[in-house]
Order: sequence, then C-alpha cells, then structure tokens
Amino acid sequence: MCPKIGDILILIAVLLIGGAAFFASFGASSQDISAVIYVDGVKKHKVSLSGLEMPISITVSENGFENTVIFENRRARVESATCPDKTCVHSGWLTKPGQSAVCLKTRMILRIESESGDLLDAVSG
Amino acid sequence: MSSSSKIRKITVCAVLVAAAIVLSAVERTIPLSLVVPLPGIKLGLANIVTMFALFYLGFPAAFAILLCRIGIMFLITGNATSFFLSLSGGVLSILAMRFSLLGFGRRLSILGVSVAGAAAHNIGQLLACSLILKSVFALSYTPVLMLSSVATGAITAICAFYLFRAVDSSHALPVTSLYR
Repeated sequence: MCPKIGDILILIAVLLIGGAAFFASFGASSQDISAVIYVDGVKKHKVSLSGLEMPISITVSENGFENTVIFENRRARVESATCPDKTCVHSGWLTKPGQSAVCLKTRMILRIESESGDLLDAVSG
Repeated sequence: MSSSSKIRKITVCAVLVAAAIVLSAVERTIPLSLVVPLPGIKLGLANIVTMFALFYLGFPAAFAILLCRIGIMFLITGNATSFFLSLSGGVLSILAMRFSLLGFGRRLSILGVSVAGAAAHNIGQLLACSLILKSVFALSYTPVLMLSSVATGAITAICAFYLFRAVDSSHALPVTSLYR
C-alpha cells in the first residue's frame, strides 16, 4: 500500500482538528474552576477561581507545619510552607482542573477542580 | 442473490462479528498504558473487521456487524457507559470511513481510511463523554487523541492490508472493487 493524496489530506485534517482543539482548550479549561484544599482527605476549603478580583490567602496549620495558599483569578498555588522539602511550593501555579500540589507533612492537597466534574474519573476501564 | 449465497453472506457476517468481539475483548487485556502513558487509548483492533466488512461486504453489512458487535459487548460486560461510548465512537467511525471512501475513491489507500476511522472513533467517544459529564472539559483531550489515532490508524491499516492480501490470494470472497 502506498500513501495517496487522500491519505495525506486525511492526515492533515486529523492533525488540524487536534491543533484547533489544542488552542480552543485554553478557554474551555478555565471555565468555572475552583481550588479545593483537602486535609487528611477531608475537604476543608473551596474557593471559586472564576472572576476573583482580590487575591485570597488561606493558611493551613497541621501537624506543626504551615502552608499558605494564595488564590487568584483562575490560578492558585502554595505560596509558602514551613516543611523541609517544599514540593508543594515548587508545584507552582495550578491553573487547570486536575492539577494539584501536595504537602506530605500537613497532609494537605491543593487541587483545581472544575464545577462540572472530572473526565478521567468517569472513564476508567 | 441466490439463497445459498445469502446464507453464505450471513455466515461470513456472523464470523466477522465473532472476530470483532474477540479482538475487542483481547485488546482490553493489553496494558497499553504501560507503553504509552495516556489513559483511555486503545488500539482499536475491531476496526480491522469493520474495514474488512466495508470493503468486501458493503456498507449495510458492515454497519450491521458493527451494531451486533457493540450490542453483544454490552451484553457481555454490562457496562452502560462503555456501551454508549462504543456506540458513539463506532457509528461515527464507520460513517467517516464510508464517506472518506466515497469522497476520495481511488485517491485513498487503506491507511487514510484507517486513520479517518480511528480519529472519528475517538472524537465520537469524546463527544459521548462530554454529554455524560455535561462538561466541555473532555474535549481538551482531543489533541492527544488525534495524534494517537494517527498511530493506531497506521497499525490497524497494516494489519488490514495483510488480511486483505491473504483473503484476495485465497479467493475466499470476491475481490473488492473499492480500491485499497
């Protein structure tokens, strides 16, 4: 079988669809998102990130360690932490649903969630 | 069509449905996620059967085989979500393959048909996911799946190519007039 003109056209079309979706998803993924803080698996705080005008800061104190989380319009991150390794801080800005920053010492998870549910949880198997 | 060749055609269709079911079930056991870290991608081996049916038996028979395969898989697994996704993907896939054959004719080889089918299958499944979740977020997976459908389309095209060659040389079925 040798590739023909139709094959090339279909290939280009498929890649274009992928490319278009790639650029379109930057708008779609930030609709209605909120940042949630879980401590020990329990949802402690939820802040909506859409249309947030003033940054909000929440400090979580657990286990002798502290994390300070900053919520801004459409993004959130762990600003500072008193734990030794600070991986949570190094996770940087979280902007898309599913992204998360975790602190093992305070057992805190900062996670971006979309209001309408997560895809990958539903599609398994 | 004489009744014996009708019976023959129905028998071939039944065998193809069985083959598609086996392919569909077996490919679930292959842990593709280990090789490629993408959740939810499949090789789509059942598309080989769909393509075979499209080329050798015509669209109506191929469509019937597709529906039977999806229906029986639902009866076997009892998974309604997967049924809905398969149905959506499968129907879109066979329609895409059919129309690409109609549209391009001789200027298309089986590679293009296969990639079109794989891409349409993935798009169909993403649309179904979006409906279920009532969220547009599912579609952000599209770029990745488009790339993967080029790869899986190529793999199934290679399998189909050798299958067609073997069938043609054994003259088991009339050689298709649709160019491959």
